[in-house]
Amino acid sequence: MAAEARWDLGGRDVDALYAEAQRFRGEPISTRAWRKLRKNRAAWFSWLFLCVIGLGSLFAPLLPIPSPKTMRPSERPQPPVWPWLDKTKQQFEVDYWDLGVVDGALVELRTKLFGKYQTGPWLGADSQGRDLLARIGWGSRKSILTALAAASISLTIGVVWGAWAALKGGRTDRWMMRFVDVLYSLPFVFLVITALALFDAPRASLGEELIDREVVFFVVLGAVFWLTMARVVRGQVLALKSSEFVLAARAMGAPTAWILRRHVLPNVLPVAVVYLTLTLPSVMLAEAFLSFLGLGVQAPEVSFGLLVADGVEAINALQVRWWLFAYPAVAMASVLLALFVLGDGLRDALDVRDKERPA
Amino acid sequence: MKRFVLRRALGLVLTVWIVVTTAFLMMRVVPGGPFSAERRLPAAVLANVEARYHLDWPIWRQYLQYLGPLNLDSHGLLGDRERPFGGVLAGDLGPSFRYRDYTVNQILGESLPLSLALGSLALAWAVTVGTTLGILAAARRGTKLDLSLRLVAALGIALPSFVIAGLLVLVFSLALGWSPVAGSSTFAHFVLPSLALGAPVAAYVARLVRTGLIESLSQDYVRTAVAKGLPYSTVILRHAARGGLLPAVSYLGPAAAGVLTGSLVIERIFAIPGTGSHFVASALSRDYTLALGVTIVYSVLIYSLNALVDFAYTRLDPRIALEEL
Repeated sequence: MAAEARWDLGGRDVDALYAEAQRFRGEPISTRAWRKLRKNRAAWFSWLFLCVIGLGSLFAPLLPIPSPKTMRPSERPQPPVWPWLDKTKQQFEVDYWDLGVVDGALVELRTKLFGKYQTGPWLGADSQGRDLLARIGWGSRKSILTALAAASISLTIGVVWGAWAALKGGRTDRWMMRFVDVLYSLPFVFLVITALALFDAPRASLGEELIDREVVFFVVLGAVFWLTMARVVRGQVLALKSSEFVLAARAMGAPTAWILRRHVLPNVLPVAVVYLTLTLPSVMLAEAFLSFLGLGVQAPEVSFGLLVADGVEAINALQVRWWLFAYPAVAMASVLLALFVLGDGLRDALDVRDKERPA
Repeated sequence: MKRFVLRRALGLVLTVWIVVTTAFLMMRVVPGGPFSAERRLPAAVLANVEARYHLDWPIWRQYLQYLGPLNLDSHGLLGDRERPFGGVLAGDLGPSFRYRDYTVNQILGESLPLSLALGSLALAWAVTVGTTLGILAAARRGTKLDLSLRLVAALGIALPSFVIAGLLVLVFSLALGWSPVAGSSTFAHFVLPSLALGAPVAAYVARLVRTGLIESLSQDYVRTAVAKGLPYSTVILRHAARGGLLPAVSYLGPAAAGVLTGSLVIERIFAIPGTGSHFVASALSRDYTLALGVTIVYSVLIYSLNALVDFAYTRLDPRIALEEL
């Protein structure tokens, strides 16, 4: 650069200033959020815990656990046995419900990896002799996958609905949000239960291919949880729409699609992620609630709700099989707690408006 | 004021109408009825039973009959029937399909007092304890007490109410023998269920109160109060609490809805013959009228409570005008 072209900067060197400015790179939201999350010990621990649990339950078919379906009827329910005192040498049998292609392959791989070995009744067994450890493993898998599916449905509907309403504005916005308000005031749980109970009966007569209960389940749950997401996303997009940087981009003649991709989406995503994390435990709670009432996941498949429901039933004055209640309850509660803590931590970490203010 | 009442009344009517229509259509469109479940009835008997409940009518007529207020029964609009009015609009929820000789109104009349007693008990302790703990945690912010209270609150939110119920039964009924396991005959029977039912609400209230109070403690008027030399307790209870409790107040509507929802499970665990357990049973056995009746009554209840809470909110916070709600 020619020296005469420089402005008077109080005797400071432009090149040095420019170099200094270059060093101040705008930090992407995700990087900063990650850094903040790591500093939040509870949230970071929850994240690690969820990673372990998530991987463990996703690959539950690969673990050397017994099949959650195999029954071994005996007179006395099997209480938990410490692994080092375990004398039972039971052989693994391939005995599952109708597994899909992926799960079937995983189970096959498991028999290749571990042969006939399987863990003993370390967490005890239920009244029909089914291994509790295996049931918790497969149950967490079902619950987590259900929650993910339903939460993604609600995420999609909510983001599209909210963003559309905010971008259109005016009458469209008013009507779309009025619709959300009306839905908010409906007693959803009651309608959901009615719907699930109704779709339960025709399954027998119409055959399972026509109305898959799980599909009804996902759609119904996903349809309930998108409302909050739509409101939050709309608020965020409305704020973004009138922000200086969007105005500036518009003034420079940037096309709408580019503004959406470059300025709106990156700023909506964090909010969506936070609410996804907070929706997950709600969906899991709802799944447990419905399974408890006998309207969610059906035996022989297992889920947290089903296991805890069995556990609550096992609590009676005649014989207290505490492990049937305690272990599933602890497993479910720790996953839910971790999700809530992580959600809270993410909300703090991703709060784009909150600029590194000391906590 | 007038506008607020009018708008809420309109909203209530709209909500109930949507609930009735959605649920009604859902129930009639899906094949199979309350009498097609287990044992197949002889055709003649089935026809008789269906005629008794007007299931042989076209859907639109069943719908109008159910909605009311005109009674379309047998002999035209205003025939020789003793009751010219019926249906939801006339406050008549029809006969139950399963419990013969009982109308839905009768069943609700018997079960609703139980559920309402349980629900208000749960809400009452949840709000009292939640507010107290929230204020304590905010006043002692950052101490071990605050930390442990927050942990308890997080647990209360994360644990489903039926897990808490199981835990309570295990400890207080079976291990210690202090409380009856199930039933609804004495007050003691309601203690554990209401504890389990209110626990998540208490946890939420405590969290909201803590956050709200901490925010209002940083306000200028609180600093003025401290600078005046008022004792810390007066500052918190008199000055900060007024603003700080507002988020918790607006949560009361959803809390009531949550308690009603939770009662579906809790009543089942403790074998309380309340409305919630009737609802689950009726939905499973396709007792259309009973399931619809419970849904309608609960929607009205939740909607009215929400309106009341909004009204209370404007009284507590003069910055918010009634007209804006």
